[in-house]
Amino acid sequence: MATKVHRAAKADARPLPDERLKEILYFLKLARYFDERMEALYRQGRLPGAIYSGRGQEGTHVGVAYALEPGDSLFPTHRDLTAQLTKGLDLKRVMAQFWGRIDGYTRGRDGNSHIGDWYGAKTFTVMSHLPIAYPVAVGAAWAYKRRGEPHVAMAICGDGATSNGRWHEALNWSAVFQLPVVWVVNNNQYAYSTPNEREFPVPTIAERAAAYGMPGVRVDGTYVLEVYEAAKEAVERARQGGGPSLIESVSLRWRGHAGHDPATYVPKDLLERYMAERDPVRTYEEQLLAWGVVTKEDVAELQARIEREFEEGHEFALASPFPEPGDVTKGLWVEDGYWRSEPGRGGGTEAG
Amino acid sequence: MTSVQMPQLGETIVEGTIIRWLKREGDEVARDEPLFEISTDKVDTEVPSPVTGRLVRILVPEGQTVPVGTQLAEIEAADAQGDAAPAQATPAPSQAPAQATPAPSQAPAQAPSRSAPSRREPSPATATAAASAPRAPEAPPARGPRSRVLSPVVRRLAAEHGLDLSTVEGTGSGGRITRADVEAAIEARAAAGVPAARPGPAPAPAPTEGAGTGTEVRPLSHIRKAIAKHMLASVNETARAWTLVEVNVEHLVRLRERTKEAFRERYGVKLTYLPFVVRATVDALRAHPFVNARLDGDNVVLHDYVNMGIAVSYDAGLIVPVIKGVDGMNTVGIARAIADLASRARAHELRPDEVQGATFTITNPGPYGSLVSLPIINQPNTGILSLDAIQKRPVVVDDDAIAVRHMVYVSMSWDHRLIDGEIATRFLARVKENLETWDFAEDLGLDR
Amino acid sequence: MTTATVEAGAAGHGAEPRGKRTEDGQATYLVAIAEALWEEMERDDRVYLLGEDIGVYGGAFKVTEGFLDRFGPDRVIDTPIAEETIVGMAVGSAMEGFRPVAEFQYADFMSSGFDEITTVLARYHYRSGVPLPVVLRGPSGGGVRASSFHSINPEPWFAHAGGIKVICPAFPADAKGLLKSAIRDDNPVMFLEHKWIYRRIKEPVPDDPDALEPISVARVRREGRDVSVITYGAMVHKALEAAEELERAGISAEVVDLRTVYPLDEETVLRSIEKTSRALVVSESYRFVGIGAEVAATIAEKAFEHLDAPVARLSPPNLPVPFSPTLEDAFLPQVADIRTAIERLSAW
Repeated sequence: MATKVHRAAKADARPLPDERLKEILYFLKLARYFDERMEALYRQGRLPGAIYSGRGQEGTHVGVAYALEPGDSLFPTHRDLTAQLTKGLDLKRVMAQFWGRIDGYTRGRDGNSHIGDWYGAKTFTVMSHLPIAYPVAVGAAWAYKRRGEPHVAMAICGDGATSNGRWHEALNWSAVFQLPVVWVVNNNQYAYSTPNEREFPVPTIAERAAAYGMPGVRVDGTYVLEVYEAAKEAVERARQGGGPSLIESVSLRWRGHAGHDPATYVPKDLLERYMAERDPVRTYEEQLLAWGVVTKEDVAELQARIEREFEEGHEFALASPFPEPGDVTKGLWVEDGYWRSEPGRGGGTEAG
Repeated sequence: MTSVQMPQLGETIVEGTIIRWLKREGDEVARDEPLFEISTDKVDTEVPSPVTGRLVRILVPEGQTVPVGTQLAEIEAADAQGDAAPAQATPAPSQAPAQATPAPSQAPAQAPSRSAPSRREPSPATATAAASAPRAPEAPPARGPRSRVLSPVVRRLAAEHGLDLSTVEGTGSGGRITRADVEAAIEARAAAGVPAARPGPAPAPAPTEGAGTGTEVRPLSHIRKAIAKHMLASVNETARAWTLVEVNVEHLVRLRERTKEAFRERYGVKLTYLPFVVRATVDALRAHPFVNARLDGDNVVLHDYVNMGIAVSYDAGLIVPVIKGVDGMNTVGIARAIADLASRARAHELRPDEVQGATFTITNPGPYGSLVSLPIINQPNTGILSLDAIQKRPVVVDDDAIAVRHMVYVSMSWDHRLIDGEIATRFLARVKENLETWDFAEDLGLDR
Repeated sequence: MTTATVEAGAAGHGAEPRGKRTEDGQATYLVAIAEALWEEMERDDRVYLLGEDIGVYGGAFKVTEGFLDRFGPDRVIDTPIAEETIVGMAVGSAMEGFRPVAEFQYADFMSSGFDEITTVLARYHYRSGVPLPVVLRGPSGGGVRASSFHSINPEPWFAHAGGIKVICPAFPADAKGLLKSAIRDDNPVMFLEHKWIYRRIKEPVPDDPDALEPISVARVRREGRDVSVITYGAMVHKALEAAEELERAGISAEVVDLRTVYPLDEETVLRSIEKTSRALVVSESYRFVGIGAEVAATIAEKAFEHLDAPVARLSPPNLPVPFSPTLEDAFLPQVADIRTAIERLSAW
């Protein structure tokens, strides 16, 4: 199968109803604001733990996740919180998670974007050993096929994780069994500090799909609608029994690997060019203004709503109790009943 | 006929006094039934009969003090084949002729050999020989190199059943006392109907001679005499010097106030200041081994362990039970050991080996109100530490202010023959520093 | 030929494992395991098998022979040689409600799936509340001249992972009852079979499809007075042999079969020590940081006042399992080693 390279969607074509286009704008702007505010709180020492910025990659994250239906499952990485928010995570509980509170999705058992909501938004609780969720997505996809359910599994990893054996194991296996799964590579050009040239010897990751007998496309990750269209096509193909696909979505990681990393290894002019010309949030907003889908007033109102939601989430997080220390061993075994019961809320709170 | 001898209840004991015979000549006595009471330098205790039989003759009357090993009585064993006697009655040399090829030169040597029975006469010399040759059952059994290795289960069972392990023969490797040995001993004792060794009431005073009006003359108790002798000997023999430090025990007082209820509830004993002082002193002793030493002629004997003597007063006078291996205990362990030893001292239930072997001694007159004391060294120790009364005193604190703090004087009498003022003072300074700076809270094992 | 005497399932599609019992109705350990898998698959449609060469070929040790014919390729899945994805597949399908049983051709190859086992399988429920009823099974252990890569005892690695139950049965009936419990358990379970036992040991096993053996319950295999031998897996059989020999010499050894090594049944171990006061811990896993080390530490910590001798251990050194018979025999605890250790302990 040939590698297909998408071109940017035509400026005059509206692939979705206006309301849905506006919803995409909401997720993009929410992601950007959340990312910037959380970094500020982190740098002020007001946010414990770690942050893994997804800035500059919002087009990829919103684009792929928006192509999924509620019954589809998502297997993301720590970089992909935006995709999880798009899939339906509750911002309040996300923020409680960052502050280690009982109302976080992991009840304080994990932090930051190591998050997931299997029984709600149907997302896998993120782990660090990338692409650790790829083999797990194989199992979920197999389950849908075995039961004849019209669901699709989607897994995301970065460009660096494609060097890992599991990436190849999972692609191979999914193609052998023709499973309903979409493999997304968020190619932000740097794996921590390591550039693409040191991770793979072929021009694109997408062309590797041919080796596993599946379609592979490379899309512009800074343009959300192009990403969305490619993802939608792959998701629907999988849903119809057409087997797995690979999507390489290219953008640039604007910030360091984590909050502590200044990313001086990224050439300054490359970063400046991306920020000036290929900002996935601003360009999409301008597109919607040009289409007349939104007005400037609409955008300002949307921004105000996002800031309000963020503050509400922040307040909710700080008001949520810490987990009770006495519960530390609970929740390991199913039979202890911890996860089936309401958590104890006597862990106290402290100002963030 | 079985001979009964003055037992050696402890390795440093050389003589004992018969306080009371519990049987008269002609009485039947059962094996392990109490036969007489003795008093030694260390304790008073009952001695059980080695065999079942009839008490034929009492050789040492009540009140007399005789060397260890002296023959005290004769018992005619009920069983003629009984214990030690028949073995002695068969002179070893009589078996000599059975040897295959007796060389001619051996013949004269055999001739005067039938003198063995004379060994049983109660002359002092032969009595000593008898003490070391045919072992009376109450004497400590032969000990192998591992006889002092006591496993946890052996310690626990012995403690639970009040069993004196010095009376138990070890059948484990190297003479180790095993769990089976202890269980057998407990069973044997139960079968014999003998309760745990327990001395009788304090010795009855000897008949008094009435003197002038309002004045009464009483003979000294054996314990009192032993104390008097011991104290005088110490004053005469040691070059006693004395050093005093003042210790701020404010945080210790607060800790105790905070934890004493929980401590008592958890461990069943009262939390006093003494265990803390013992703990702090043990550390100082480890740091200054010469304070934990004794003189032996021209040698100094150093110990790599600490056995802490604790002076305890009771109705008969003063006794110094010893916490063996106190350097392996935390404050809880020390508190329990002190409570146990003190209560059994007052109940006259201490075993001889529990009042021996101190390497250092602490006296604690504080509860009676003493502000400063000058104790006499418990020989052969090199030092004795005194813990006096804790009082609130105005003291100058760090920022030159006057504050009210709980203070105490801790002093030591020490033997200038072995150590000098520098060691003594540094030792006491360490005790002071430990008491003032250690956080004992975690040592108490109580949830904070 | 009449079919009247043919066992149900043995003649037509596939061979029901019960047809492989001996004439007097006993099952080998291997057959007992096959019976457990078969019965649980009959009982619960969510149970399925995956692994390398388990379908058409029937498994490297023929545990799943006949399963493909009976249950079909949707439930008996021959996989690529991709252990990380075998585990990942099990996890992902368990998240979706299946109850996978993944076979590793040898327990040695579990290390090829190590990250998915220790990072995902062990840690997922604690962080997410999503149960993972996954069983990973495979033949472990040495003594069969299989050398370094087919003889490992990986139980300490996975006991240490924290969220996986680790079972190491020694007898056919236990293997059957415990594997059935493992499949019905909502937590991840590592079921380590011992290949030395596979065809050596046979005994009657229950026919009742609901006869289970409880996880985390040890069993006193042999009552004794003088010394407790705490062990599991193939070493149980060696310990029993040593105990028999010593009985004639007047030494009474109790043999405790842990059966589950994590979470450990401390109570049964401690009750035995209270009785005998002497403990010999025998394990086929390495000595340093091995299962035996943990058992010994537990005894020292919780039965201290009952001990009449130091806790003794017999385990192999932390070395690759050697091949040459002289070396492998020197490496693994043997009956004579156990006997000597018991004698020493009882005379201590």
